[in-house]
Amino acid sequence: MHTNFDLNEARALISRFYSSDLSPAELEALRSFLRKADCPAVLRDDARVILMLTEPELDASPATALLEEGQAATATRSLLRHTAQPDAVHSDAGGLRSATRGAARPDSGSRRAPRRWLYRALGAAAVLTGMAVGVWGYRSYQMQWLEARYGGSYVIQDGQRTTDLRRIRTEIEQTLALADHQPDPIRQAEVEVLEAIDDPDLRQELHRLLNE
Amino acid sequence: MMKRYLLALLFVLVSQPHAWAQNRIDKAVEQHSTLGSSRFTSAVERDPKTRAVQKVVKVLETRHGSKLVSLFKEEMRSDKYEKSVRTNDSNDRQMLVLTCGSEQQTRIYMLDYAPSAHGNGNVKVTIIIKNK
Repeated sequence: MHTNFDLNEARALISRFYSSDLSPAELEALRSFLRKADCPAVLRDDARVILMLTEPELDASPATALLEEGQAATATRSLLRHTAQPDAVHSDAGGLRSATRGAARPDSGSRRAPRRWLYRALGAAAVLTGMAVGVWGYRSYQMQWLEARYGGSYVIQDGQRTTDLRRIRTEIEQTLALADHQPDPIRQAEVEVLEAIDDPDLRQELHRLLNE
Repeated sequence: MMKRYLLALLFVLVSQPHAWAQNRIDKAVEQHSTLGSSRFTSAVERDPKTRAVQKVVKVLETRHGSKLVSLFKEEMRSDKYEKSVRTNDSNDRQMLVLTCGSEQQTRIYMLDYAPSAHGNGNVKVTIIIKNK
């Protein structure tokens, strides 16, 4: 197979290389083209990667460390350390391209982690704020309800005055109940007077007068 | 001029003994409420719609109520109030009740004490004010 490719033909072959779509003969032709001194400058990066990938002996550097350093091509060679055969390269080239790209941007995955935590923190803050608002609203309503019914009530115990109606509510209600159990002596006197009258009409008239 | 003013004032005071009794007992209860070893509760009942006061109940419980007992007994001697005495033989306690009222209000003063106990024991004063 000839090795005098023009730029477009070379690019097509390189693209097929990354898609694992080159025959061994085509791969060899491409390698010969890329090794030439007059290989176009725009293809030099791809040349470096492809030649390194297809070399029979690879470096033993750990892939992870190389990825952190951003050395995409060398990281790809490390991944193929024990599988540097043309067929293996042919079948793994597709994965290598994405691995190379991933190596060129080593921190792309970690950017998503802070965003996820941020959303979780915002969600938790929203829930807590909602709960706080709910509790505050309930307590406000409760205080208004108590003020409308028992406003002005208080307790003094051993010289200490308490006006918090929520705390003394039970005692207030018990104290007010005392008065309900006490007969109103004025009303009692009226009842006694009326019961002493035999004439029902007169009794009714007096009852009306007393309650005007 | 001054003489007329004094006579008018005297007339008002003499014609309002209820006010005297109310003021004396109310003042005494107020003074005792801030003492140690006493508990004072002032409960106000209002109409929730208008917030008008319907009833006020004040309860004072104290161990130092001998002066309150003396005050109540003084008022009991007067025949200008409706009064009653309730006796509980089971615990040797007595309740004195003073009642007075007007067109706008009914006031009930109750004293619960032990006549035979030293210092009259634990004394409980209840004041009920009902607005009509």
